[in-house]
Amino acid sequence: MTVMEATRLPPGFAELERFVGRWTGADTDARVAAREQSSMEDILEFYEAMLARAGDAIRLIDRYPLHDLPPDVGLLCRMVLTLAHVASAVEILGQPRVPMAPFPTGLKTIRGSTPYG
Amino acid sequence: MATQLKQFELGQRDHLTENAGLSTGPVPIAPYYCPDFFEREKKQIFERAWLLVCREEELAAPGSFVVKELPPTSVNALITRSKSGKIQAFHNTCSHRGSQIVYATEGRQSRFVCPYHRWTYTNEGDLIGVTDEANFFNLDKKQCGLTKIATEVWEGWVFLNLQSEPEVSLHEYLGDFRGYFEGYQYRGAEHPIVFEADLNVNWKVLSDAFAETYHISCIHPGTLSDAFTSSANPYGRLLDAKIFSPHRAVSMFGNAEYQMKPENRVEQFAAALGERGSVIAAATKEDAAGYLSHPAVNPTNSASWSMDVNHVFPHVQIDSGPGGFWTHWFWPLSPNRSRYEGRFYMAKPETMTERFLQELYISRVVTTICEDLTSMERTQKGLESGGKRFMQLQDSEIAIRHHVEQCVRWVEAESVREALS
Repeated sequence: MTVMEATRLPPGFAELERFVGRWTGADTDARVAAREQSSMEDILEFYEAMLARAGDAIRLIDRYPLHDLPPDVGLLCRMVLTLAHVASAVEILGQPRVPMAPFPTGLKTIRGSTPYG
Repeated sequence: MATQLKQFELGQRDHLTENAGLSTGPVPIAPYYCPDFFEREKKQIFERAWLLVCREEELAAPGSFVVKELPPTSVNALITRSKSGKIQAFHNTCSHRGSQIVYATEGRQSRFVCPYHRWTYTNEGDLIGVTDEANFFNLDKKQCGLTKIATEVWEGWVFLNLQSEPEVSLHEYLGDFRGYFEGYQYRGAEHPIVFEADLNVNWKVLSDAFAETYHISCIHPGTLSDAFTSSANPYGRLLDAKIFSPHRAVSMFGNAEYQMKPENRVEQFAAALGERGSVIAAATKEDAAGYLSHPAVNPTNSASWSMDVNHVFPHVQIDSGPGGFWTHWFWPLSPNRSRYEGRFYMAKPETMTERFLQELYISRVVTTICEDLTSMERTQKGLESGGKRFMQLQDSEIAIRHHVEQCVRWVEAESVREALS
């Protein structure tokens, strides 16, 4: 599937646009890598901002067919999915990477969930 | 709480290991690194046992195929579903000069054309086309089909046996495990999320890491510990263990009083979106009821249950959790290198809420596996260093003890039937 690259989020989410790029990875591995390669300060900034709008974002995305999202809504979807991974850093690990684990870990997602797995 | 405490107190029950008739002494570690033992495992185990290779949902439509490497053997298996629905595996080797025929790892086609000289086969293995056939010498095309690999399907699992004539049927190989596991509901089997890693460990180090709960409070303090241990059972002692000749099942303790930490705001947010069975389940409690009622899921019917590990010898674990099943596959590459494949099965999401809950679960899975990676390669280095000849195993590590014992048994047995006896 060819995904048209969007750079703008849907109207109403302008304050999150500064996170487009690093926090909108195209698949699970890209989102894990973004978390592993960011500072805790950057992770926390995104965590707070995204969590504050996550409910709104999910409600908006749910107005569209999940497997055929318009590009700007798809971009927001990828940003919401990234919240799942930064949550592991903030709520479980207390740091961006798993303590004492090899880096890179070598673990790859061969088949993810859809969309944007 | 008081009864729970009693259940796990020393002296309140016999050790599972002794009950299962296993030895309790130190276990030799040479099988974890010795090249000679590895070669014998390849020949005596992987080239003789029925090997679980995939689920039939990977071959859903007539004409679909998958290609699987089967390390440590050199076999490249082309597994097809014919128009009539039959699943059959073949060596992916052309009868002409031995080239591999199919380069793709999966697809759907009724015919396979060898790219080298365009010999053509049906997906039932018959040779139907030879380029410039007249220039060969009395070529008997009927004798030149693809070479079959013994294939049997049980409850949706596809098993292969590399013996030209398997010594025992799959029925006999599975033994009592068959009755124990029959009727299990494979929820979400058509939609696996698949993780893979090649690691510098013996395949048994990898398998051992997913077979016991003794390590959980040490290696998984944030991801799993609160859900797998409690004040009543601080070291996550097992609920149960069952031995089925080379196969086995262990049932693990879960903390029924598990509470999310209020500061875990995304976890709280997700819980408000939809209640999942637990932190190790992507599905909701409600739609898991039928699956949970199977006697092999939470076999002791404990209120303090987290998951079961059902090990199908030699190299696959089918795990049950509150929301469904997942599998770990351990493919030996060399004495100290292995391929890990984790397949987590869950329904295709239909709403963003479901999709987000799955990603949260996936993040938990990835983090947990990475935590396991912290100790695995270091364990292999320690084992290889020559510093020790034996390891000490406790009762909750019964699955590890039984697995090594079975590997040694198969390596030494002259026949499969002897190994199974």
